[in-house]
Amino acid sequence: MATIVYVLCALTSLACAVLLLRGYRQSGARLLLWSGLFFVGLFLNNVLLIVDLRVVPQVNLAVIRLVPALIGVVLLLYGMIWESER
Amino acid sequence: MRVTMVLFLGGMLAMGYLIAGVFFLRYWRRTRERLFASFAIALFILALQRVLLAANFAIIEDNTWYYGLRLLAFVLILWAIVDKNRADR
Amino acid sequence: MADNVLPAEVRQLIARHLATMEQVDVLLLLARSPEQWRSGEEIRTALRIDETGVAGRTFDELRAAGLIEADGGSPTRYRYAPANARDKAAVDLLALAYNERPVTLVRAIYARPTPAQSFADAFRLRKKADE
Repeated sequence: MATIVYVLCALTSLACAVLLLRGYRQSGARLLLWSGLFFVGLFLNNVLLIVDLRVVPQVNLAVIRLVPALIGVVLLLYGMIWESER
Repeated sequence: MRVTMVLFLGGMLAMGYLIAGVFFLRYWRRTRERLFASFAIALFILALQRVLLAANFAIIEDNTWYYGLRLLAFVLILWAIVDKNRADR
Repeated sequence: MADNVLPAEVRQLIARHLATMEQVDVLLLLARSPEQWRSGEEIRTALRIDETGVAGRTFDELRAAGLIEADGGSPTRYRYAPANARDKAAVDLLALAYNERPVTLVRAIYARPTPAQSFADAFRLRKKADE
């Protein structure tokens, strides 16, 4: 059950990343670049969660999992702070 | 050491989600796009999830509560996208 | 150029790089004589831009957009230099729009979406009819 949820989360993150990065390519609005990368980080976080729990349960990937999400959120905040005005 | 690191990074992440959520609220106020309200709430839920994890000193999220919250957050995001496309017709 | 809608290339050019009419004016001035270098002073006088700050910012923004280039001299001189053929074609259409539909163009510049609005629009799966 948990795995299905995490797969859904991963796919949703990926969809958001794709839509935002595509939007960045079309509109040139840099906020979309940073927020797209945020969702990439969230995607990786969810994938690593699945790997951690199902593929290598004997190894604890807790720290490694958090890193892409953290980088993603930092990039998102950077984008929101600097690229929110016209 | 490991637990401390996870708690620390998790805490940073929770704070990051929280601030991003606040920014989304700001965008919602400015643009009146429902999408931003959904994203804001989703991020607040993700932040809450991290807080609850830390409160239980758990670092494994293979637990109904935690993935339930995560599910809720992502369902909200999905709903926001669906809603955006429906409303724009 | 029919209707009140500008060609897609122009709208994209505006969305990507053109936020103000000053940028449009400088760009089109330099594009009119593509081989010519002009100093900042010349451009400001020709376009009657009183503020050096505004002019300086405009030059920097157009350079960052890959639409004009600067020489290393002092005072700096600028020249039309589109980064690729697509941009050049878009600027040609922009000039046309400036002559034929100036009001529509001005409206398009100032109706340019904010970053937040572009974020929300990115989640639209099907594009609007006019895109």
